[in-house]
Amino acid sequence: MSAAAAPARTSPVERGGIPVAGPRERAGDRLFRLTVTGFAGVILLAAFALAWQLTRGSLQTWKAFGFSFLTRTVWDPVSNDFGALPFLYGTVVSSLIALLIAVPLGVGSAVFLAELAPRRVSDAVSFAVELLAAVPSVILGLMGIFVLVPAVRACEPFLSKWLGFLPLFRGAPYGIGLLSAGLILALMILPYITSIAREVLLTVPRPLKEGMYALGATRWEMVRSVSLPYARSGIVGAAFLALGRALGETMAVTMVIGNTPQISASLFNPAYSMASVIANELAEAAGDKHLSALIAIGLVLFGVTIVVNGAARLLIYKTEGRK
Amino acid sequence: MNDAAYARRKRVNALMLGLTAVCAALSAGVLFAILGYIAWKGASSLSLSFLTNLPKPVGESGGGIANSIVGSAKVVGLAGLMGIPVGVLAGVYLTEYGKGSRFAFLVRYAADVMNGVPSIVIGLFAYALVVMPLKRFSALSGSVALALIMIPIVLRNTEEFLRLVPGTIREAALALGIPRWKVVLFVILPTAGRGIMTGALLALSRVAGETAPLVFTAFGNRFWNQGWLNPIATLPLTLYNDAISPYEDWHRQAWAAALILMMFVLAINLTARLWLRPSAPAH
Amino acid sequence: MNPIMDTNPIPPVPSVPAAPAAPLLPSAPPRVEARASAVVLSVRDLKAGYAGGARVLKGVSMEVREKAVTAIIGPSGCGKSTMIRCLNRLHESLPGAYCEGEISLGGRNVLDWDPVLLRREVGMVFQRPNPFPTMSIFENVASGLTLNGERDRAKIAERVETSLRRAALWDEVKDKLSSPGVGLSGGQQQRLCIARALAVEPRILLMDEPCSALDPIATGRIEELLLEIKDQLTVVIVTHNMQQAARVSEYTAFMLMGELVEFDRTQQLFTKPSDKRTEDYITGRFG
Repeated sequence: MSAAAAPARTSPVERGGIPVAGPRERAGDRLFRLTVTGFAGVILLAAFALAWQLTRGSLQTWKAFGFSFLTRTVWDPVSNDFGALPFLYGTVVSSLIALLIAVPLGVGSAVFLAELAPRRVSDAVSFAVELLAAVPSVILGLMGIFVLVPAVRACEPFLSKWLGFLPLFRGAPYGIGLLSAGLILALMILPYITSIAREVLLTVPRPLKEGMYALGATRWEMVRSVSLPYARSGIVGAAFLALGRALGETMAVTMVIGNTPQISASLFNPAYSMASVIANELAEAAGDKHLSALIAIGLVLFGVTIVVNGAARLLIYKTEGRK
Repeated sequence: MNDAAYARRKRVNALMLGLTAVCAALSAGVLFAILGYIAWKGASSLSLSFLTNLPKPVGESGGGIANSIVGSAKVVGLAGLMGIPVGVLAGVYLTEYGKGSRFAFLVRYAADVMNGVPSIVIGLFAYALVVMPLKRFSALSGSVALALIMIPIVLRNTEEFLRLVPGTIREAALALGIPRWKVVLFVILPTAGRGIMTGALLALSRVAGETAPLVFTAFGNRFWNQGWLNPIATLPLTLYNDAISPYEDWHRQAWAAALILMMFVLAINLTARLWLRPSAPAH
Repeated sequence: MNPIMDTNPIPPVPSVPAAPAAPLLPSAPPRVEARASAVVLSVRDLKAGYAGGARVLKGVSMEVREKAVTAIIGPSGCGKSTMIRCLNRLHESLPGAYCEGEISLGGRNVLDWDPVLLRREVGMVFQRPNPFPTMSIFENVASGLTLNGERDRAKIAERVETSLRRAALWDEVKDKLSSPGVGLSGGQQQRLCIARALAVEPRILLMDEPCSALDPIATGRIEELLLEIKDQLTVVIVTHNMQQAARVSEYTAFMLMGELVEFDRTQQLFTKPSDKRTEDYITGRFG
């Protein structure tokens, strides 16, 4: 009489066996499977726990200030009066400056590496640019303090002379401030933009490019009208990813931004970022409310980066999925 | 054919492409400039006593980073012990057992989220998880933070290299009557072994340079580090504290520490690249 | 006479080979003499496929005779690979695949066995040589033993040598047993995989187009070793090469679109096929 076989499960050994040594194998497989599943579950657990801890720790602040926490500008640990706007401002502005510099530079490099350079040169230069991403943030901050800031301080008078009609470039040349922070962030996110943009540009289908050449276009014209538009969403995705990194960057920014919670139009002025205030004040937080306010800032940072990174992933997969 | 217009287009072409070359040269050049500068500033302060001495009080010269080097090794080592197995085994789960299941999708999504979370926020989590209950800064809390940073990196890397193992290898092993778990552990994992180990090394080197989450977990220490439940010095932390201090002597030490850290990171990255290249998917 | 069920659609096997008629195939006539032997594996009404997809096997029944080579031929997509992958239950290890029916080995339905134990009785060699990349030649051949807990070094070494000899590879590799398995040529790698499968001492060896990735010389060597090892174990070989089937097998099954069309002694099938579809296939009218 034929016995119907059960539909296949992930482990074929889960069916019954001959009594000879059967159960031993089954147990081994089950144990292994449960173990690896458990380890995978740890990750899920950690993510939930992270969100939970951040929410719980910041509850006090939300109760005390509500959403206005995000729009208030005072930050006074002594009288327990907190507002996150200066930090939001510092983070956002420095990141935007970084994007403004790094995106053109990065896309330009990517075009060179994907279209122009011979394979070996392209690989070598890409490797060098990726190594830049491996440089620890604190080392870049060190370069920031002793090399970048003095340089910026020297340039600021010229900037205010020529571009001083814009409120962005007025004020005393401190050196440390939003401009330096933006510059150092640009350096940190440049490798991400370059390498993703390069990958995305390499997926542009050859027939499309050849079609353009067949019409007599120069190489630049081909890049401008075929490659870049095709890679557009991938490049925007790369920019989002870089933004996500810039928003959360701590050490290098802390060392050059000036750590002063103020909002000012001028890029020359010191400011403060969300990540920096947490790094600077958490270890010696004066009391529960202060701690809670810092964790609240952490929660905001967490939420913002999730949204930005999510958008980035969508855009990048959209392009690479068209291969 | 309008020759003048074509000539202009050719000029524009040359200009734009030249600009892109400049961009690439700048980007790569910056790296070398940084490396060169660190080497120049740091080399003069480097000496054997620097590597073996403890930090000295303000005003006294001859301080060193011995405790920071040992501290880094401890914190990163423990982080690796915690993070690498989780990342590798979770990667095994995702490739071997979790195909298409909802749980696997959630795990992968959670790992992606953790990957994108700024390290300072991970540090906040470790603070709430370990520092607050224990009411002290500790090496353990620092390691927990670093392990959490490592896990998504190791996971993604493991998955990628496990996927590269051809299905026919797995079938051949199963066809010999080897139980599934042995096939995964003794045939598939070793086959992907080189790639997985390289990824683990790179993850270790990445967290070795992390400072932000350690500022309020490991906290730093100017003396020898005791055990796991006390504040501990790590190289990047010491670098940071020295750099922002007002003392010239400490600044010099910061450069030397930067040189050591940079050499370590470079060595690992170059080794990983070279080691991995021969086994890149060429079959 | 062999006991054959009355409901068996397989034509009865004569005990004395008939005088060979003029072969329909112009190439080398079958050089294998069919000997009647016991049935070692019996397949009844085997159905297999993938969840949500078409059925690949639509009720196949056949018998595999002991210590003989049975070939399964048929055009691409006829289900012959699926067929033998059901025999060692490898088919089920794919997500969504299923396998129903009766496959009797030693009196018990294989579909009730622990698949791991079954595969130690029924070994398999694949289309592309697949030695384990991280292991040496010795370790590859021994892997079926060592990974199943065998600790006796002497026994392992002896088994490795025996298997390599049976696979006609011993002389070529005996001086470099510790070099990587993947360092051998394609034909050598396949013989290594055969040795690896033989080391477990299975009762039946399944071969899924083992020569299709090899050059003619390597193919010839494997066919030669098949003729030798079949004295000790049963071989079922899937092949898309009819001449190969004619050369090495005593029994041949012809499959078409998931069904077993004809099963007979090789000599008979290639000279006087009973089904028109078989005749069309072997004379090259399609497929």
